Amino acid sequence: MKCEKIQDLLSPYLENELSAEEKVAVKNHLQTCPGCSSLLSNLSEIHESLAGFPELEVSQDLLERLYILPRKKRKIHLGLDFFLRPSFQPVLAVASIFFVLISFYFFHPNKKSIHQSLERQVHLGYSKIVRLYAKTGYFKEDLSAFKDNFLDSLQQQKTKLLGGNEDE
Amino acid sequence: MLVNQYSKRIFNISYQFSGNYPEAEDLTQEIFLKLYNALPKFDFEKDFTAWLLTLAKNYLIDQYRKTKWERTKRDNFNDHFLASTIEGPENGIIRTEHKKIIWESLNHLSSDIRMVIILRDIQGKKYEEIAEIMGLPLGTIKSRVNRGRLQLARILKEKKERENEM
Repeated sequence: MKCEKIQDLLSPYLENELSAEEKVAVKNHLQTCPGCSSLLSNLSEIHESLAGFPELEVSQDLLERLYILPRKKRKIHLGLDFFLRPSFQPVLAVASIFFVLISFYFFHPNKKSIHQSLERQVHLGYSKIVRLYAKTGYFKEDLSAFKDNFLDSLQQQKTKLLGGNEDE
Repeated sequence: MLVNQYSKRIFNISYQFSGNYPEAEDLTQEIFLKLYNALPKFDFEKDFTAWLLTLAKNYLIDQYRKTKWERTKRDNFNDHFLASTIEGPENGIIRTEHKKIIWESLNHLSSDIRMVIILRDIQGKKYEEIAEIMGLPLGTIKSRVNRGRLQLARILKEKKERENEM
């Protein structure tokens, strides 16, 4: 086998992951190739060195920073929670529609014509309300006239009935 | 509590990956912040440690790609490791020198290969666990570990040859 192929097998060879056949091929190659044997000894040294890197302890300062993290996060959330709850969403929707309409009005190139038509609509609405109010006034007068007539006719009926009884 | 149980593991993986102590502290803090934000999405049927390590791995590799730490120098090996490494008197100095070379050479590996080397060779995880953390097939992990080790071995070989010449 060529050196390149053997070098790919060196790491699994160290970890004892090769088949019996591959192991023999690697062993035979290593006996005749000083380059690959030196690479194997370096690989072995690397493996040993990396495994020997100790675990470092976490500094007190970092631990304190980590302990206060959830509190910090909660503080940010408390401020936003009120606006983010589902029951507040219709209000947000209405507010955003309102802002869209307002910005449409303010930034429209024909702002004047919109303003005029709005004014017209407001006037029309106002006059409709006035007419409606006047109509209700007439209706009220009609109603009181009807009431007077009705009471008068009742009175007349009553006197008629009483007069008839006296004659008998 | 999450901090007590996982801070050491996250700090060490951040330090081994970045090679810079203050940087590793900031990264640990950021990973924990990410963890608190992602916690509601955690599927309780899954392995929490593997999930946390995946989150840490994603953050470290993303940060590496954004900031390119390979331009910054790793901490001097003696600063943090030497005090905790007990070496015998014979060959002690040479072995420490080689460890120093290996530690510094980690920066020559690409972020993906460096991560699998850290998980496999420094932290001693099984290939199956690494495949789960990295979200890659077992064969890809094995080939990346192999490539990483060979790269480190070639760097060590070159340095040794230079030492012999001097």
